[in-house]
Amino acid sequence: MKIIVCVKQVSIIIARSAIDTAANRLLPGGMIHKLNPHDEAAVEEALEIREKHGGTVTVLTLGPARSEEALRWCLAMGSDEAIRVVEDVPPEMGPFAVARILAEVIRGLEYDLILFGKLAIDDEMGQTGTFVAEMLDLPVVTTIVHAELHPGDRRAVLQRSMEKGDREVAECSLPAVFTVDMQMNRPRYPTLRGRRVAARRNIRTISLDEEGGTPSCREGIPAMEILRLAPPKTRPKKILAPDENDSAAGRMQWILAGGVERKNKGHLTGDADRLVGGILDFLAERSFIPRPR
Amino acid sequence: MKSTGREILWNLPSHASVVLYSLAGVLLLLFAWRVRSRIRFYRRGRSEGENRLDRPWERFRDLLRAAFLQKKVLESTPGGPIHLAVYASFLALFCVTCLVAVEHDFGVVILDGDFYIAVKLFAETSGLLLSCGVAAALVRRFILRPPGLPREPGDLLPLLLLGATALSGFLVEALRISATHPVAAPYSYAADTVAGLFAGIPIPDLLRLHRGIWWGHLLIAFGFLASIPYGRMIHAIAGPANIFLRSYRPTGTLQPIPDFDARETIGAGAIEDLSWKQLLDLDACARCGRCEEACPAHATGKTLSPRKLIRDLRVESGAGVGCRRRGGEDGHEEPTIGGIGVRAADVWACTTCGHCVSSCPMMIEHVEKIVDMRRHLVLDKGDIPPELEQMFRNLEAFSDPWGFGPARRTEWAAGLDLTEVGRQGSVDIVYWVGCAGAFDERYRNAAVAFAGILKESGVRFGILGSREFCCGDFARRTGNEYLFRLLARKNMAVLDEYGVTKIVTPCPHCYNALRNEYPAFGGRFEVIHHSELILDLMEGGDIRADNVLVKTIAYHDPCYLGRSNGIFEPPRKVLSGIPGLRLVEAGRSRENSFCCGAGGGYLWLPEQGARINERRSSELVALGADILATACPHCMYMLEDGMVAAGGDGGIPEALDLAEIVMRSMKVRKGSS
Repeated sequence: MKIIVCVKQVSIIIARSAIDTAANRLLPGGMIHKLNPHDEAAVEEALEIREKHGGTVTVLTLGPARSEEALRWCLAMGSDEAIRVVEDVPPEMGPFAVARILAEVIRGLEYDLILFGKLAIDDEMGQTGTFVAEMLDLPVVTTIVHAELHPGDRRAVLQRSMEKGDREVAECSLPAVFTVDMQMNRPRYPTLRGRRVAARRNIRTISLDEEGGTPSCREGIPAMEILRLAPPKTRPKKILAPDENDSAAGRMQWILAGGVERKNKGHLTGDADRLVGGILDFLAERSFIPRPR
Repeated sequence: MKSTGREILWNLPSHASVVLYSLAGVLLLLFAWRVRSRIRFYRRGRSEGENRLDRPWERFRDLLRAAFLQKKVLESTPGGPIHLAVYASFLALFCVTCLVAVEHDFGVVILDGDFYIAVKLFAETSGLLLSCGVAAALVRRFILRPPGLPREPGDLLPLLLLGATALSGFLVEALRISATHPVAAPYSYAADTVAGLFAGIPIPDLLRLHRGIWWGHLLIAFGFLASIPYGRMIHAIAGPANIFLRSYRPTGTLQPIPDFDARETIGAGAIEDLSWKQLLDLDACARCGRCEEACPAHATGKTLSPRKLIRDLRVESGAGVGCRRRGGEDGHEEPTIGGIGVRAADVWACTTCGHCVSSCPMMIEHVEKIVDMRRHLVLDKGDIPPELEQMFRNLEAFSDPWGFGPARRTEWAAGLDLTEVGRQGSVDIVYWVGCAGAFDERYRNAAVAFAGILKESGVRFGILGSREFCCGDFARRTGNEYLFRLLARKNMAVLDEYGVTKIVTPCPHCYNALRNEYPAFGGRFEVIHHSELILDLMEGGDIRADNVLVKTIAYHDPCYLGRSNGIFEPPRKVLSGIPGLRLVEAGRSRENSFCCGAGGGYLWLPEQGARINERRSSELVALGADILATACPHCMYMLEDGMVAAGGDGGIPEALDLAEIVMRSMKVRKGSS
């Protein structure tokens, strides 16, 4: 199986100052760049398929030089090859332009399967994979959470995640494009050896103009205009006060999850009458029940 | 002819000395062969980034104190005195025997006259002491059976051999006395008493019996000597060597890894991955169980025991002579890490508090091995508890364990008008806030309090703001050396850029990393803990703790501050400098402080069974204090959490950082706490 995984280095806003409201775009200073988690799950899935059926995993990205860090992470996880397409795509060109460029590059590569993350967590468009499938005339299954591949008879059985835990089972011929949901797996953490290998590997860069590709990638794409970028209203910060009965590790998990409002302290002690009385008072004070007599 | 001395090899055939020396030769060969093979075994271990032969005088001093004078062994009762009795009397008898051999072989008369009598008395007393010591050890280990003391065949055999040596020695002596009635008999007071038993037995029978038991005595004694390097008695050789080659690093500080950047693999997944010194550690272990007694994980029912860890490693290395079975002392069925015979769950149960290391009479370094096994799991296998993996990912992307990101690092200081180093003017000292101070909602209060103290004192200080990153302590101790180095280099770049020469931090983990581990990355700055600086400021009159706080206060020693870096006094002096405060000491404090349960990344892991922090908190609550003081963010929230579970009807004491307490006692112009 020759698997191509298209990944994106996403930008996570860590400071409100990161939004330049005048220019309607995000500023680089207050952002942190990392591999999109859905794409990371796609890479993990590709590696697991390779471990099962053999083959190669090529990661492909379209982005600035810094996005090579994300490719290195994929290499450290165990990908065989990494390609960065050097092409400046202004954000207003949108996923359609990106898909065109990627499709153009993929046409020049060998593949049996193309994986995408279901969406990038920064712009949340989630269209690129589907566009690429259309442009390459391939079947596409989106938001998969389970895949069973039968390379011998060139087909795959997939499960899509639906509402409330429902699963849709789909069958699809190969080659195909799948977009992966991050709940599909738990991506591996790069080992030291993986990091060393990744540091040594060359990242191939492809520039469409140099490769003699069609320079018309962007032609005929209606540019999207961003009218306004509205930062969220500043709200009073939540107080991080996890349940004090929880263990420290539990507490850390609370904080990781974003914290909770401070709970009302107070422990009821005493016999059953006092406990019941205390609970009734508590509910009455908050008008859940009429005040007991 | 001697006047009072005895004839050596009396009543023995002329070939006795030939046989004796042949046996001695065999013994020496067996001994030397085993020692050689052990040394070859140690040499199979990897090299270390630590010089273990520097400071020769200190090493000899420690060898004398810890090995020869048994200073550390004696700290525990009754094991210590029993060991001293056996060890000292055996050594004494060995020396006396050597003296006899010298006299016999070189034909010089040494043992004669008053000196003979003195030696006689000395040997007699030593023999008695040995017998009593062995008896006490046997009773303690096999009848009283205190928990933590192993009872495997290898633990019994040396005691039996030693006891039999002493008893057969007395019998030989007694038979000689009853057959010859020497002048000096009364000085052999014990043997003389035993000789009474043989009264009435005809002389030829006595002589035959004497010969028989003499050979028995010889064989048993030689058997014991030859067995020393084979079984657990090897601690008598490897132990002193281990003490001599000890590390002088603080207990909480890990060895630098100079060749890390060239390495593809790291950590210990097999016996061969251990360093030569770590292999020597395995032989040095006397299995006294003091590490187990000290271990907070073991005390709260985890399967980890540092003693068992060393024992299991030793068995796995094929050297576990006298150990009942492989695959762990408790015969567990769970899979172990590769070829090292230790469960992953045990490796993750360690808080790296270092109490096992500091309580070990042989100066074995348990924590370094555990971290090496973690390195193997994390960086070689990628087998990481999910909670830790999340922390690693946050550290790598956001440079703090929670994933808030650098831009929010200054939120805690909003409105405090603090100097940011590099932005406004120069400062004398950098206030290293640490991730807890910057992000933890509870501990921020302490960070603010300390900033208030610094402002009040007029010290020219600054913070690094969004350019301070996690020091990497948690990453390093959870085995992610790669991440630790990444963070250390990032921090060093900033510290170098600003030319920082002095750092003060309220977090002992940051303190330990910056002070003891950053020098490997070129860190050339002075690092002090906030308790030291507060004490200086109080003593210098720069701040005044005037408000009377009528409170009873218990101070909890953070492992990385106290045991690891020896800072016991400054926090106590600060607290006793506050009017009205009454300081009470916990039973386990200072060097023996009991871990809060947060260290070594354990803060991040779900704890199985009883919780260490609840155990510690209930100890402190039982002291009846109004305030639990500590000087570490992690200890503080561990104790705060633990107290809710431990607290009785009398209300729960407050857990406060030293800085918060000092702030409360200060009359501040503009309160910030």
